[in-house]
Formats: sequence, structure tokens, C-alpha cells
Amino acid sequence: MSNGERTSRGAPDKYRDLMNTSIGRTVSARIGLPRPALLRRFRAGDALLPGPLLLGGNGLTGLAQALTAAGAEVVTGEAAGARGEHPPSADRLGALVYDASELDGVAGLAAIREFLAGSLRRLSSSGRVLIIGREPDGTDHGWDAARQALDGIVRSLGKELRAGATANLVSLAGTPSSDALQSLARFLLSGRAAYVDGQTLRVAAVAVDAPADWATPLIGRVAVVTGAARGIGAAIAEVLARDGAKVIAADLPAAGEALAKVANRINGTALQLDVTDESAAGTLIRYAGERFGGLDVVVHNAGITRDKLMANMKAESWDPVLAVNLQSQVQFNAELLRTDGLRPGGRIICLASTTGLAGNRGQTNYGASKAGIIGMVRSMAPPFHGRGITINAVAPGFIDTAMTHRMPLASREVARRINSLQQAGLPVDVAETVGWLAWPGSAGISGQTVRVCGQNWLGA
Amino acid sequence: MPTREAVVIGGNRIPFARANGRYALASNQDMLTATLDGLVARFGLQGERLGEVVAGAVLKHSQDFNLTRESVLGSALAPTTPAYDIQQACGTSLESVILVANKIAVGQADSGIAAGVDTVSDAPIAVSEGLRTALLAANRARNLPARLKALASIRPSYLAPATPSNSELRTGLSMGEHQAVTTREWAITRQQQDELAAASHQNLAAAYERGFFDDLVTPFLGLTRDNNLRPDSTVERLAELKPVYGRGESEPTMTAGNSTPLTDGAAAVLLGTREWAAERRLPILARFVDAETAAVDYVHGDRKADGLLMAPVYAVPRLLARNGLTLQDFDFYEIHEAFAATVLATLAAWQDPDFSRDRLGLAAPLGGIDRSRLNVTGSSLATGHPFAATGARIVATLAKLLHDKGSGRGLISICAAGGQGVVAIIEAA
Amino acid sequence: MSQPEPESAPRSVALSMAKGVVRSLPLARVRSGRAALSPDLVLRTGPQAIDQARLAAYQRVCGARVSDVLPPGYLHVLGFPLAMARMTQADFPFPLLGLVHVVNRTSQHRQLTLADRPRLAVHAANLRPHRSGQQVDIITEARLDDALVWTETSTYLCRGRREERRNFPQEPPNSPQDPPNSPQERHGVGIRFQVPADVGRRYAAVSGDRNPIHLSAMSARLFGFRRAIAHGMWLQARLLSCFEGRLPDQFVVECEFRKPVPLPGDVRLIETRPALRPSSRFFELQGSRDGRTLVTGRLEDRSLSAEAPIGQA
Repeated sequence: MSNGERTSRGAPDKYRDLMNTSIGRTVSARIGLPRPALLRRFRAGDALLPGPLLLGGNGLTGLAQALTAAGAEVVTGEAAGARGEHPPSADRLGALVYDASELDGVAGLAAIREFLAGSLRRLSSSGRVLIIGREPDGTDHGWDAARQALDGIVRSLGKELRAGATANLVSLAGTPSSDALQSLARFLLSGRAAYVDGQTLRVAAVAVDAPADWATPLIGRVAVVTGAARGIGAAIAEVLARDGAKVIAADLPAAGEALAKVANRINGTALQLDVTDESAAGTLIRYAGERFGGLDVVVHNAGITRDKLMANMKAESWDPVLAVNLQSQVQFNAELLRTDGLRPGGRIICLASTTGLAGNRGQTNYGASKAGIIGMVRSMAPPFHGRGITINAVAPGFIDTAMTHRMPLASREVARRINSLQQAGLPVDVAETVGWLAWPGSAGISGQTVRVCGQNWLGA
Repeated sequence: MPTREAVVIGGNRIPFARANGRYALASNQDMLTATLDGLVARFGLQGERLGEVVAGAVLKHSQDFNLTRESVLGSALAPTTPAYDIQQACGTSLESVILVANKIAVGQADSGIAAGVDTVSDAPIAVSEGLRTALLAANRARNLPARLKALASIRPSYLAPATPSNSELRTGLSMGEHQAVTTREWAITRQQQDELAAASHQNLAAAYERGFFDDLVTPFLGLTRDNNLRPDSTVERLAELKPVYGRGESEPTMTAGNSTPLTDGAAAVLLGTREWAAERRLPILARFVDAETAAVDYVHGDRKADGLLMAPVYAVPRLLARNGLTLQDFDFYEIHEAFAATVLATLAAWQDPDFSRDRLGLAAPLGGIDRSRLNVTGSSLATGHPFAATGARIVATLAKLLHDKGSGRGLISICAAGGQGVVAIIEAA
Repeated sequence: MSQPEPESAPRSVALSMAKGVVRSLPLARVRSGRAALSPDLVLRTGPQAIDQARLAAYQRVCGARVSDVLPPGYLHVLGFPLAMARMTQADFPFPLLGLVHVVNRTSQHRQLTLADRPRLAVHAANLRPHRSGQQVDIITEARLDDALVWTETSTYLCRGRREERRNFPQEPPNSPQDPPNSPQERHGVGIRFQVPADVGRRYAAVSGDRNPIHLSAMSARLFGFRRAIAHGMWLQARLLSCFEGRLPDQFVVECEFRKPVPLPGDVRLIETRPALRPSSRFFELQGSRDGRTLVTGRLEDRSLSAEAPIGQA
């Protein structure tokens, strides 16, 4: 079991734990109960994957080397077959990676079927299926159809996979460097992406700088995390610090007690700040400049909920949610643009929500704010691009936090199970995704919304 | 010896809580550790070895003999940071600031934290003198019969605990009773006192509202602001309160509203050289200029001139003379509001020609001050007054005021039990 | 030089007291004023060694610093067995119990320390009428070699019968009076202190003065007091400790015990200084709550550096 689950501050998932006892396994197998897996999560020093990586397809030069550099033991179909280990083998595969970058038509999809059908049974628990395709670009209608078909494969496959395994698609625009590929692999194949499932990530070919040490890709970076006193914000601050960043943990003055503890745990600094203040961005930019010589990463995590059915929605429930969750971010980011507040290579990561994609009863205000964030990052990506800055959103699904712990048991249990991994995510899952977006290697990802939802049934 | 400048880098305190309230179960060490940790978090000093940490408490358990060092060990500072305890009543943490600043000035330290903490809620309770004497005698006894004899002297009445009081030991009078005499001698009116008290609350409330304390205060045990603060305090409301001190007098003027309540809390200030601060890219809010202490014979001295809380009146002219300044050369005055009347009597004395001539040896009085520069973000009447924490609260507050203004000079005046006064000057850096 | 004697064993005090109690019983009671008091009968001790533990216990009870300096009242304690003995001699006109200590005047000519070996002498004198009965002085002197270093006059009152009181013309001035028309200034804020409930027993233990009126409410009731009352000499010692660090080596302190101070008590020492006599401090001990005057007194600096007093005190 991973440390992350033990230290999670959310509600204990007793059902998942029960289903992972020997009796629970037997019973659930007999009567067909869902059996959520104990997900593989990242710990420094762990191998990238629990077993060898089977690489299929072709086209991207340097992919195998990048995967190897990322820490995978890469085997190819031919090699595996030649060694007579196929099928079946005690040697479980940690990941199935298919290079579909040269997919040139619907017929080419058959090779993917062959690759996956022949090896899926050997995929280990918490294994990874990763397909690398290209963005539909209008060059050829057949190509585009085939490229879009990949999306359907991973979405359906994600729902078939069991035991914590996930399937994702990387959709390339241009040809990324080996370092960019390695960076992708270090996230998507590792335990960092434990709760990212059934997603398509669009990656542009942008020059990236390889970190001096892949264990601390954020070394030398100055990051601020709002709402850092607890829950997901605290986890983000910890992950950024672990990855080498100097972290400014910001939160409301009233949350200062918990904030100081977070800051001291990660050797960061605590900044008591109300992000809805018009001066907040200026204060923060100046503070980071004076104290650390500049600012590289801004994580907009501060957010509130004031749930009400629209029929009962009053201004006092509507206005603060929009002000804190959305308006403050729009204002803040505009200020970053206007003042060049971020150094080149900077990153802005905004916390959205699957509610912003799928909607949720009683959350028109919250849904509006989170959908607004998705629109905001898409809209702001081009102007920031010129400065080498990316802006993305991360949309968590159902994450176990102190907040969800307060939900009624039945709603909580349902919410936990309605995703492909049949369990809630942890704050650290969101944090790892945020951290990865902040990496230098993620320069090719901007304007996107990355879901960390275990492929939640809601919201596509 | 060449001297260096000691600068104030910043401060931190926990909100002050009225006694037996929110912090009733917190010890001095709990509060001091939380305050140090908040300071460490604010300035990213985790694992840093500082020159020293100097702090103290007025009400202290005997087991807390090494309170500051124990707090450092429990904090996020490097465990190799040395520490020691001091105590100068309500002047404790301003005196800690002076000590740290002096060590920095003479080159014995590059950095340090000056702090203070006090709890009235978790005050030490001693056994009675009779029981203590008997137990000590039993402890000294060399054999069983002698020990039994000593223990046999214990009477049931000895078992009642001895609770600490805030009375002056030599006069048996509480601070309020002392101040009541001073108040009458200087003819300070109820109206004047209530006006000062209302201003203190209003100034503190306004400062909180504009976020002034966002980087000076870290919440503790769920308390986010000083809970003695009454933002809606007015002279009219204060006028309704009944006098609590000087009740034997014909027209007592001191009420719970214009006197400081018993309070729990802690405060700390980070000091260093300019270089030390610059190497860590830490802000420099103000520079420590000079300090002076004074004391009066409140036991046998003059009823008017030697009031228990009047010592700053004597310290300030000496400090001004040494620095070639007049009382009007300041942009901010932070005069600790032990009682509203303390501040008013202090200001009255500086304007009194006879007193200035006879007792201060001045040809002309120091004169009045621009009251709009006095305690501009509130003071102890509104925040409350955990004795040893007040000096550090004021230094950090004033340093920030000077920094925000970008220039100028501030005067700090704190009266202390035992007829003492600690005063200091800091300037924008 | 003779060998210093140890301090009087408590037993000798107990014997004197027992004798005094017996003589105080109604049948044995000597009628007041009948006997001729002999001023020449002087009781003496040899050089007295000071017991440090007892001195420290005394200092503690009286609020003085524990040190090697003898508080002025400690010599009263040293002389107490002799005084008791004197007051139980056949010529002494009053029963021991029921005597009220009304005035004490102590002059210290030199400060004594633990290392000194004072010799003590006690005699009785000045039997005189008083509005309420009759008074007599017990005079104790301490000498080092031949030098007089300390003198104390304790005036005791024996209440007379009602007709005797009524016939008395006027009250002789016992109390330290201010010089007439001397402007007095109340000085300082006043010093409040507690008179603890058990201080009678504690002071009795270190002084040997086990007069039942000081020990407990029950024993005090036998003599007409509702509660135990404080020893006058404890009050004097306690209020002198308020002048810690300010007592000159040579001084006179005079206390008139106006009213009994019941135990426990809460009292306040008010100081006044006559502008014309800076070497004198007048004081008054009042009940903290009712403001009643309990003790009045004067402390006069007789050191060489002190301003010359106006007139003879």
C-alpha cells in the first residue's frame, strides 16, 4: 500500500479496504461486486513501472530511448515474441505503449487491436496503457478520422481495465523532443498519474529544457499555491516542494495557523493573503520578487462552495463563489499578463472541477465558476504562449478530502464508485498532475483542462 | 568596538485572547512555540540556526525555567539555535529586542528572535507557604523520624493553594489601584480615558479591516483576531461602565473599558544585520536606534511623580537627550496602554512645567504630541496585554508602520511592574 | 570575656508564663497599684549567641530578608524571657495575662549582626495611672561590651475598674504626636499587606510569646476577644520590613498599638512626612476595608547623615 493512502486526510475508504482482504476478494468475485484496487502511487526511488514496458507501433524517433531514460524496461513485440515469453508469462507487463504517430487511416487501427488484445491480459495491476497519436489537423480526412478513433479506444478501454490500470491518449501536434517525451512518460507511466484515466492530452512540439536532475524538475522555480492551508492545496504545496520548487504557501489570514504548519513542513514560506483583494496579484508578484527574485509557477487553488438549487439561489450564495473561484483568477492572471509577473517558462495552473464539465445538481454557481476557468485557460493560453508561459486547468473528480468526509455516507459511497477506478482520488493525485504541468518538460501543454477523475462517468 | 546596525525584519504574534477564554488550556510553551513557528513560516527560516532566541514570561511555572530554549527545540528552527529567558514584567519582550539588537550591534550575533509570552489562564499555582516549608523540611530531614516530624507539622489549612496575584509585592496594591492614585493626582478625567479607549478599539479594528495584520499575526487555536477587540466601541458605550479601580475615592474614573484586561498570548520579532537579511532576501522594515530604561520609587516615592507606571516619563527625556531629539521629532508614538490613564498621565507629565523642572531637570517641558500619531493601529486596551508579549507586538507593529510609510521615526514607551519603564526608538530603514 | 550563653531555652519562658498564668487567676490576683515597683531590680544575661535558624525563622515570619543582620525586633525576642521573668516578680503590680502592650519605642544605636554577642538587661519603671487603668514600662537594653547598642521601652496597660477610669482627669500623651502646626504630606501610595490567620502561632513559635490571645480564636475568647489578635511586636517588625533597604543604622521607631488587629487581617500602611522634619516619617496602619486606625507610629533617622531633628523626640 502506498504512503499516500495512509496519510490521506480524507474519509477512509473502508469498502475498498474490505474488498482487498482475502475474504473480500473471494466474496466480491463470486457475487460480482466492484473491487476497487489499491492504486500504485509515486514514491521517490520507486521504479517507473511495476514491470517491463511493451512498446508497439512506430514512427517517433527516440521514443524507446526516452522511455528507457524515464526508467522503463522497454521490450518490443518482436523481442518479447522472440524470447518465447508471449503469451502468457509470469512476467507481468507494467505498461503497454503504442506509437500511433504514423497512423494513416482507419485500417491502421487494426494493428492497435492486435497489439492490445494480445498483451492486455499480461498487464499488471496499476499498469498503464498509453497510445501516442497525432492531433487531427485537416490534412487528410481519413487520417483525422483514424486519429480521433484513438480517443474512442482509450475511453472505452479505460472502462474495461481492472486492478487500477489506466488508459490514456497523448495527441501530438508536431514532433516533441526526446526530453518532452521522457517528461510525459515520467508522469503518465508513474504512480503520479494514478487517478488520471481515459484522458486525451494534447501536446504541442515546443522546445523544452531537460531538468538537471529529473528527481527535482522544479529546482530553482518559485511557486505560489493559493488555498494552501489544507486539503488539495496543501498537497500541491508539498508535491511542488518535493519536486524542488521554493513554495510560497498562500491562504486567507484566518487559515494562517494551518498554513504555517504546511509552510514549515515543506521549507516554504507562509503568505496570508485574500486572493479576492484587487491588490492580491500585485502583492504576490512583489513579494515573490523581493523574497525570491521572481515568480515561475502560480497555482490557483483557492475555492469555495455555496451549494443551492437555482430556484433558491440568492446573491450571497452566488456572488462569493464566482468572485473567489473565477473573478479573482481572471483578475490575477490578467495582472500577470499586464505586468509580465511571471518569468519566461512560467506556469499557471488553475483548479477547475469535473462539475465544470458535467455539471452537478445544486452547483450552478460552482459549476459556472469552474467551467469559466476552463474557458479562461483556453482563452489566455495564446497571449501567454508568446512569453513561454503555459496556462492549464486541472479538473479533479471526486477527491477524498475533509470536505467530502462531511457528505452523507450514501452519497459519498455512490460518488466514490462511479468512475473507472471505482474509488475516490486523493489530494496527492491532483497535486501530482499540477506538479507535472509545472515541469519544464510540460511546455507543450497549454490551454488545456486535465481531468484527474479516475475516468468519472460524469462529464465525458 | 565598531557597532553595526540591527534591523527589524518582521514579526509574528498569535491573536491575543482574554484570560480563561480561547487559550485557557494552552501553556506558555504552546503559545511561544506556535508564535516562533509562525515567524519561521513567514520568513522561511526552517532549519535555520539563528544567533539566539531571547524571550520570557512574567507568569511562569518553575518547570518552565528554560521556556525559550524548550520552545525553540519544539519549533521548526534549527535545534542548534541557543536561547535564554528574561523577565522585566510588561517590558520583557521590548527588553528582549534591546538585548538581541545590542548583541547584533556589537557583532556577537547576526540574527536573533526577541519574544515574549504570557498566560493568565494557565498560571502557576503554588502550594501554601506552610506546606512548602514543611515539605522542604521533610526533604532536608536525614532520617524517618525527622521526616515524619516535619510532615506532622502540616495543617489542613496548608492544603489550600496559593494563587498568584498581579499585586505589587511591596505595596500589596494591584496595578489598577496604583494607577488610580496616579490618575487622580494628574487629574485625568473619565472622558479623556474613554476617548482614548474608544480610539484604540477603532484603530485596531480599522487596521484589521485593511489587512494590516495579515503579515503580523498568525491565528492560533482557531482564534483569528484579538478577541478583546470591540470594533463598535464608542465613548458613549464606555461611559456606561462602572468604575473598578479607586472605588474608595470620591469620583473614580477607571473602568474595565479603559483598563487592559488580563490576556493570554505571545509575540516575536525577527532581527538581524542588513547583510544577514539581504543574504536571505528578507525584508528590512526598520532599524533599531536606541533604548533606555528607568525606574521610580513607587513604594515610598511621591504620589504624583513616582506612580508605579510613570517610569517611562523619566526614560524618554534621557533617551531624547542622548539622541539629540525632541518629543515632536516622531512620526509614530506607541505608548503601551496599560490603562488609558497611564498614557494620559504620561503625556500630561511631559507637558507639566513644574514636574519637568523639578523631576526631569528640564528648563522647559518636553511638550505635547500630535495625538493623531499615537497608537495608530490600536494598542493594549484593544488587543489585550499578555504582559511579556506586548513589547514584541509593539516593535513589529511600529516597524511595519514605518516601512509602509517609507520614512520616519517611532517612539515606544512601555511601563512595567516594579515601577519600571522601557522605551526605545526605531526608524524606517 | 565570658562564654556566650545560648539563647534562653523556651522552657524558661514557659515557666515564667505558667507562673504568670497562675498569678493571673482571680484568687491569686494582686490588686493593682498596691505593690511598690522596684526600678532597681534589673535582670541580666551574659553575652548571647545568636541562633541562625531561629533568626531566619523570625525574619521569615516578619517579612524581613533572611540575612545576618538582626532586625531591631529580634532583640525584643531575645530579651523576652527576661521581660517575662521581670513581670512575674513579686513586686510587679499586675497579672501577666490581661496586660495590653500599648506602646513600643525602640532605639537602635548600632546595627547588630549574627556574629554579635549582646548582653541584655531588663527592668520595670514608670508605673503611672492611665485613663483606662495603669501603665508600666518594661525597659530592655542590649549592650556590646559596655556600649549601649539598643534600647526598648514597652509600655503595658492594665485595665482598671470602671470607677478608676472615670475619675482619671486626662490622657497623658502616649502617641508620637506631630509637632504642632507641622504641615504633613501624605507620602506614597500606601502599602497593603495581609496579616495571615496563622501568624499568631507562627510568631509565637519563633518569639516564645505564647499569650493565648494570639494563638487561636478559642483561646482568645477566654480573654474577651472574638478572634485571635496579632502580636504588637509582629506588627512592628512587619511594618518595618516595608522600609527594607531604607532603615538607617541608627534610628528610633515608635508604635502605639491603638486597636487590636484581629486575625486574619488586611491592613494598609500610610506614610506621611512632615515637611519641616525630613528625618521623621510618620505612619499609620489602617484596616484596608474600614480604614480604622490600628497602629500609629514614627520612624526617625538618627544616623549622622540625617538632618537634625527639630526638638527632642
